[in-house]
Amino acid sequence: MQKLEVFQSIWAMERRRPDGQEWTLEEQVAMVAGAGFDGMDIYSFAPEKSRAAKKLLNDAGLACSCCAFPKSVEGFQADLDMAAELEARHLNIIVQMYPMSVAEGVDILGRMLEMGEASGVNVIVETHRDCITTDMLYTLQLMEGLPHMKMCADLSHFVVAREFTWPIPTRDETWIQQVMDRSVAFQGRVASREQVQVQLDFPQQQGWVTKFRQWWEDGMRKWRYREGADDVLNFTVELGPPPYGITGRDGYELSDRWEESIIIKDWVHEIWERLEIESKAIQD
Amino acid sequence: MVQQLEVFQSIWAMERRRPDGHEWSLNEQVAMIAEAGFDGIDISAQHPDESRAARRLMRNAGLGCTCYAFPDSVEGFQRDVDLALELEAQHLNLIIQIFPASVSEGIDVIGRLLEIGRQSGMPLTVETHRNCITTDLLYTLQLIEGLPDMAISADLSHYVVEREFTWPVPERDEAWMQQILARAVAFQGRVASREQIQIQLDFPQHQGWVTKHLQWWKDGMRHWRAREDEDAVLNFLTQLGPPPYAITGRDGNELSDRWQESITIMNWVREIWTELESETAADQSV
Repeated sequence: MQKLEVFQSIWAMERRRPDGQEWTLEEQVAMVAGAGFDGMDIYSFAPEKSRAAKKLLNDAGLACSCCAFPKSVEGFQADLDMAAELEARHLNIIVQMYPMSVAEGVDILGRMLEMGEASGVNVIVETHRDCITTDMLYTLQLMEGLPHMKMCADLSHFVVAREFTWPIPTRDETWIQQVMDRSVAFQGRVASREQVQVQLDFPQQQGWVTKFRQWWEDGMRKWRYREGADDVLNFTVELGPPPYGITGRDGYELSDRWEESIIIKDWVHEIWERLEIESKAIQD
Repeated sequence: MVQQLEVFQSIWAMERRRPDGHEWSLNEQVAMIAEAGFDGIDISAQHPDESRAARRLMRNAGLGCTCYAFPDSVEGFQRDVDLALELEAQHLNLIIQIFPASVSEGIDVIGRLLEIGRQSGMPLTVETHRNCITTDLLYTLQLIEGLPDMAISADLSHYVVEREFTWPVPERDEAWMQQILARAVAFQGRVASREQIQIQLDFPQHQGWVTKHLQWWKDGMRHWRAREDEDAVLNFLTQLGPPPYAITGRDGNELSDRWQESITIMNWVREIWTELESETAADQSV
């Protein structure tokens, strides 16, 4: 049977408050386990911290995935080796190389995907800004040129990078659905057209909240149709600390980001349950 | 003759969109802008009735006028140009909402729009903006290369958030911005962070980005002064947008006074201009 697992990003556990108060790694892992997450997304480029985190995750019965920000094809092997050592479910890459042409981008990513295959690590490419997939129209062309590239969909980046009109025009909706058609993992953050991360319970953000929940459901439905009967879908909640988290004049965030992470996890579980009922109804 | 600076305010930036629904009337807006010491207002080339009414009030208040448009086809563009001509706009600034995938298609589209402007005698600027043909910085740099006669209106806030500029800004990204600035004939005033398109000017946590945008404006204005004629006029437009551009709190109200911030930017830009005049005078006396 297909399964859903919801992870929390280790980066999202940073607080970066004006008073400097942070949770220890032990506290973070205990909180994530206690809240009912299935695992944590940790860094392949911070070996000592990630090895320590992995030990704690093992003890807490939590799984792990890894993320990396490779800046060269040659340097990428170190990320792959670390992800293999940490027994990561997948290595999610934000490729910080900036070719102008589609052909160059296809070449770079093609070489990295090949290295992943040779290393036996499941490599997925995230839709993110400040990297090779910054621009959605460019990324759609990369996807066309690399039919075997698997995407990790963090749609918040495209919403703010392209300044999606509200309500979303059919054209933009079609672009998003093309990304969903290729996504094997999803990330949870809600953006508006002007801010990459908005508060989940502010009345003025409810249109975007509803839109993202619809996109996650669309993407997860596509995944369920497409993937094997025993496959596991990964959804990582990733609400970033300031400056991702919007702050007031006093430097403190306007909402409780940890509570919001749990809310997204619960929403995603609800979506999954609905999709299971849908599948059953179709089979009947 | 000497080069001159004029600072305009965006009419869109005068919208409040507050939860209580309170808005200033067009009369109040024009009076506020004139009284604060702006030189003109940027108005729409796509809303004839509203813009004609605004233009009358602006003439009475002694204010200049620029226009902006969001053309979504080459064929429909002549109408925007005609209204800009009627309004005697100093330039028509374009946010082109046509979305080609390839650079060559983009060059073709913009080239045809620029030709319509040339034939009509209306100076056109192409804005660096999201949700349009210049959304992506790297794509736009290729358009700039392919269209040597395209004049740019630089609103750099869009690229800061579009590409999620690292802080501090790396040399590579700085070089990209300088390529935009080297072609800019007009500038727009808004400060972005890598995660929000418009941030508050006096919050302590945003001072790095405030300083960076001030430097970019100064760099661009210096490029412009060195490049343009001695009687040319530089247009700087303050454009702090209403929500959702402006960040709001749980109650839906903005976290800062956007009208006061517009005046702050106008004053900053005038200070920059004075500094550049002193630089020029110092160069000439050597």
